[in-house]
Amino acid sequence: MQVMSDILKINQLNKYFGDQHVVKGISFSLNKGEIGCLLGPSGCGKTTLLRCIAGLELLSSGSIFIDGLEVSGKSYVAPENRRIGMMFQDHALFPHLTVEENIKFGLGHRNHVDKKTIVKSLLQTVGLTEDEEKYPHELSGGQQQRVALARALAPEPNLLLLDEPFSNLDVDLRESLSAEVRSILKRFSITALMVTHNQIEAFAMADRVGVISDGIMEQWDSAYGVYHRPATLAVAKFIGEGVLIQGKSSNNGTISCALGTLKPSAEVPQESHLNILVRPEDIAIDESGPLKAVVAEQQFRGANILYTLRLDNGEKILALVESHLIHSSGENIAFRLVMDHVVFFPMSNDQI
Amino acid sequence: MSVINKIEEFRKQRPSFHLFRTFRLNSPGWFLTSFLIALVATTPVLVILSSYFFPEEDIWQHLVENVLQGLTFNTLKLLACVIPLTALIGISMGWLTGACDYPGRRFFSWALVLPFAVPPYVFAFVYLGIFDFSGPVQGLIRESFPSIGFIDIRNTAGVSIILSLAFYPYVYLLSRSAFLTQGRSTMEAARMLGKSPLASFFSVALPMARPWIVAGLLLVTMETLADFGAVAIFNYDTFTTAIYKAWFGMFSLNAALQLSSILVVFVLIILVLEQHFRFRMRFNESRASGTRHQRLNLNGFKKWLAFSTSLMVFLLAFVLPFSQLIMWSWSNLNADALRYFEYAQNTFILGIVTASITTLGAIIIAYSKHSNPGFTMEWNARLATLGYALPGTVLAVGIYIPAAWVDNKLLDIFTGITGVKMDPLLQGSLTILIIAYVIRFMAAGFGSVDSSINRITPSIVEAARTMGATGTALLKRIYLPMTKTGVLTASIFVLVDVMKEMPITLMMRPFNWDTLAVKIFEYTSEGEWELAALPAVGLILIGLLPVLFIIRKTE
Repeated sequence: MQVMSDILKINQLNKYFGDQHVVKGISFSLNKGEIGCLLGPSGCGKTTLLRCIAGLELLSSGSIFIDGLEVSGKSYVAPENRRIGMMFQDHALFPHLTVEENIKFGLGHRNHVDKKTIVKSLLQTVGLTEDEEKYPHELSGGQQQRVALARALAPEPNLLLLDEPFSNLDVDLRESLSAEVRSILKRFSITALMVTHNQIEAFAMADRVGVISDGIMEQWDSAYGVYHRPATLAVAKFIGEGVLIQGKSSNNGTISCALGTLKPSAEVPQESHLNILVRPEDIAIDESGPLKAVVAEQQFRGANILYTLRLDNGEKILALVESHLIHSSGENIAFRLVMDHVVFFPMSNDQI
Repeated sequence: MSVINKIEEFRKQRPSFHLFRTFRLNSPGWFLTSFLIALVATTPVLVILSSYFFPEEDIWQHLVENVLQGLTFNTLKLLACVIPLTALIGISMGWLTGACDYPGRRFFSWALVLPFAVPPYVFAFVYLGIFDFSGPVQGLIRESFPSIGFIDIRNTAGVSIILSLAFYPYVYLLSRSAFLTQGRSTMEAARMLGKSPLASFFSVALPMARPWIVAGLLLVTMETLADFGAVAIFNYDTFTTAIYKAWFGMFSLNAALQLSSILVVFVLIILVLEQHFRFRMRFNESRASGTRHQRLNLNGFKKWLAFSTSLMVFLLAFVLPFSQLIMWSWSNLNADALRYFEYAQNTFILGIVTASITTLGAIIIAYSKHSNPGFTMEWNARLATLGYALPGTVLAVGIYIPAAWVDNKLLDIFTGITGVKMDPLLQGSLTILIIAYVIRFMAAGFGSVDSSINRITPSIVEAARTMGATGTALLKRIYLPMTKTGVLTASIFVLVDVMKEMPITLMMRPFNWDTLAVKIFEYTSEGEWELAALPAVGLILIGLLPVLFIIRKTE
């Protein structure tokens, strides 16, 4: 059933470059006003997927619907007729046009006064009212990014695509600008899909995060979901910090491991070997805690310290501790477990 | 204690190291040499411009009354035809091979550079031969359409087409590389904003390529102003031929000087414009050059139109003239052909000597610029390479005058001391000819040396320094290995340019020292196309060398 509020719907999309299978049967959809994010390491196929949606690449199989209309699949709509806005990694501003002319570029046959008004209000939105007459090379990276956003929004697209939009900016700017872009998109309830390899950026921007690894959509979920309830081992490894320790399940739905006996809320396969995800914030250093470990390594991070702890059986876990609690390597340390979600994955045969 | 300190100590103990240290590359010697080259290179321009301060009324009056108007009109007419023609051929071929896809696109993309190997004067005499009264074209016309009569190509249109065939590769190469390096994202951005592929080309790709196209057209303008051979063979009077005639026909060096001073002003204006657009080009470079844009697929009628236009340009600008030359050479291949050997040898010796000196000079200028970034050395390099803008005839005048002055001074001193008369030292010597070549072709050498030296970043040098390599060691272990290819390319470019050079050689060569280009000029002045063919084939084959470099670099 086609739900009307689905602005973007991807169905079983496959893309080959020669015999290289780059996108492997990916499906997902975005509601109106939602911001989605495709997150994955470089070369995982996320940018190819985005370019397929833009119409810049042809599909090998599958289909793409935008606002209920099939744009790729059985039929093909050229990129210029899809009403999609796109922000490129290198901004792709036209160097021979001024800021104003860049923004006007996609406005087509509207009258001059309308165009002027649109440009004015967009420049106000992105906070660049002084620079209409400037050329792109006269702007800083952040300003160029703002112009690119204004230019993409000017024709009022159905969907905005963002290809690693902040990766060319320095870290400070990246954070403030991504927050700003999100608030602009939300204010105009623009449906957007972003591609990034940076999870902080993804979490800051997106309502829905799709984790892609090796051309497969591992999980399509909220940011909270992919962090706390990773669906696959690949997601668990890619998102956040954490280690996997070994465990064994019993008949009564509990798992025993080096950290004691855990009771997951999910159903546990009986009598099997499992990998348990332990995140640094699951460990609370506590002098009277029941568990013991030895400090193996420490990494000072400013507000806190990331300790690598060695358990009795030799397995290592991570612990994030406020930075005034200093322990030196080799020191014994007591802690307790504050694990809200027990995340586990069946061990593959060769691991056992 | 660090290794560097140990090396320093070792140095202090051995005087020979002090010797080396005075040879340090950023020592005053290098800068002085570098300044000296720039001084020598700017002398001709200064000499010629200074003639404005010492005008000779009667010569000026004669020029203004009799020749100036005609020359200016001829030159402007020529430019008004050559610039649009080269733009049309160059941009359309650049766009087809750079941004589209059609049958033969790969082949044409390099084949269309080949006309660069053919000197303009060779184009000129081949086409004159083809359109000769006894040639194939006129014969065919007489037989089939007797009413048309004899078609004379010795007119503005004829020269313009010849020069356009010779010079369009400048526009072609520059516009093509502009289209290739634009990167795909700007074109894609245009499409995402609702423009069709063709509309994206006209609203984004073409305007973005504008600085490259203009730079190409300015080079064409400069070459057209400088051309001597082709216009001379066509008897089309421009400033260059007028300068030659004033000097060698009327024996009036002063008239030649006045004419040169007018041409130099033209050239300097073009030069300033060219520098300006070269500067502008930086902003239009796409940062995402890694991913090339998707080519526009031409289909149906369009792709065969693209194919046949490209083929026609290639046939007219290379295949036809070259095969005609081969045919003429073949029919003239007899024992007499051996005499060409002497001219070839002369040409080659001049080329090799000039190439070595020029490359050495280019290394010195490039290195002193590289090791001292900033205004002074930047301008020093620009002045030192100024010669590429000077037409050969102008350069010859601008060098001959100071050389004659130096000769006279030397003679005065010599006869003053010994009382014996002496032959002039510089005038009509190989030395002064080679100095002229070095000035003219310094830019050709400097370009590739400089771009390879620019790859040596300050951190590479610093890394080598921290490991104890300074001075000569730095030169041997870092600079020379890293610039080897650039230096070789520079030498080949200069060598070939010298071998093809005509006006400077014609005006400054020692008595009885003829080169292939000079011989071509002499034969063609007498309408002996067949005799000029074999040396022309030789020059084209040699000329293919740098063209192959260019092709390899752009593909």
